[in-house]
Amino acid sequence: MKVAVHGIFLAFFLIVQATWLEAIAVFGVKPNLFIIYIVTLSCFCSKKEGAITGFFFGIMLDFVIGKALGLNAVLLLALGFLTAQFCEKVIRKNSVLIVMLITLITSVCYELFYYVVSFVGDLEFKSVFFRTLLPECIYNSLMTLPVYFVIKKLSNRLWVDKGEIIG
Amino acid sequence: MRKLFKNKAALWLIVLVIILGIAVGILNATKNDTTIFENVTNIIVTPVQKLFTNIGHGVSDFFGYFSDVDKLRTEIDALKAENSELKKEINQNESSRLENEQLRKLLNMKQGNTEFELEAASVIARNPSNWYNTFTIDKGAADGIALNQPVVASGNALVGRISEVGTTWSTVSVITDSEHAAGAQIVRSGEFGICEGDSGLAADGNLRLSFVSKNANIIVGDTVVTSGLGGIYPKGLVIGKIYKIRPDIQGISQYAVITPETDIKNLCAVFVIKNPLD
Repeated sequence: MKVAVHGIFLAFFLIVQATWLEAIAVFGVKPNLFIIYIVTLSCFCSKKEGAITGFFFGIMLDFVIGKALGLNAVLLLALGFLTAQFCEKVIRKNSVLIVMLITLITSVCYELFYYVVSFVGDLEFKSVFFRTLLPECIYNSLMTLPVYFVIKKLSNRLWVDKGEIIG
Repeated sequence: MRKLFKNKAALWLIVLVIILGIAVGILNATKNDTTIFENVTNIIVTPVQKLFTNIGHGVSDFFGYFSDVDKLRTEIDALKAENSELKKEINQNESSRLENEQLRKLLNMKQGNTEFELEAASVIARNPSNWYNTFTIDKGAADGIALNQPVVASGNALVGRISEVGTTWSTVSVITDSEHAAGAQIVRSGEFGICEGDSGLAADGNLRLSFVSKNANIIVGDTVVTSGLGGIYPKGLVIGKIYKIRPDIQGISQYAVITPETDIKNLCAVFVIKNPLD
């Protein structure tokens, strides 16, 4: 059941991220549904599930982007694992604001790492930071709001074993 | 936070991610080939993306209709008046139209001998990431599309080049992408330069004309075309118009900001030139 739910979200994000999301781009920047989903999900599920889901979402995103194959897979795997670990060990009771903050921080780490690995030396950091990185991270954080409530609703059915940490 | 790093697995994972990330970045720096997994994924995904893009256009047209209804009413009244005037003019212009038609036929014949072999394609998806300015079209190797073939919009306006080819899909790297560069020439003065994507300018849909000497004869409004140098683009494809001229940081040369000839962000259809250097 869980795998089917993740599969549906993955298929939906693969399609929508490259098509409809263009319509809600602000200053040419669109949110990254993959980061939002993996981070929010990882606040409700186990480290193992966060890491495995992150890896599969990342590798599929790599196939569609067609550049730096494996980079998103590695990054989303780490994001899923570390977020789940953080929520389990540090935050006992999560809330939408905490998850939004975690999304903001993890998005900054993700995008900075992506920049360092793929573009450092080619793209001017100041321009990238203010024109792409920062707007996307803020946008991701805001878009966490609807995703959080969808996953929270689903978590009551699918991730009952970690129900005690749900706020 | 200390609790997080008490677990050695978390620390090892961070180290592993850094090593793997750097390895992936280095290995992919010169990647041009499409892997079988990429090809299969995109063969499955692109038809659905095409459907979603079409639905998106439909929805935007639908809501656009309602928001413009008041404007349209006033426009209809004005158009009715204009229509009656135009009917009178049509009769007067009939002889001119016939002459024009004949001239157009002659022009088409001439163009037919020198024009490129074009393959029309629809834009079905944009790159999911904010880092790359690329889009996917619905034509691939099965339609004769090959790597580095130039992509143009109407009026031979340069859009970019094919950067990846799948069986039924291809990726176009657009001229505003930071990984894109093309030899350029200013039509009025014949000055040469390199047209390249710039992350700072791409957000506004513009690109940069670099390597222009300080004393070069360029002015705002100059038309920039491909120079034909570099082995990818034929000479004379329209890149855009010079919008701003700025001195370089070192002060020994200057660069210009170019506004592309075509609105790349809102393109729905393009042409791929299949015989660019014939």
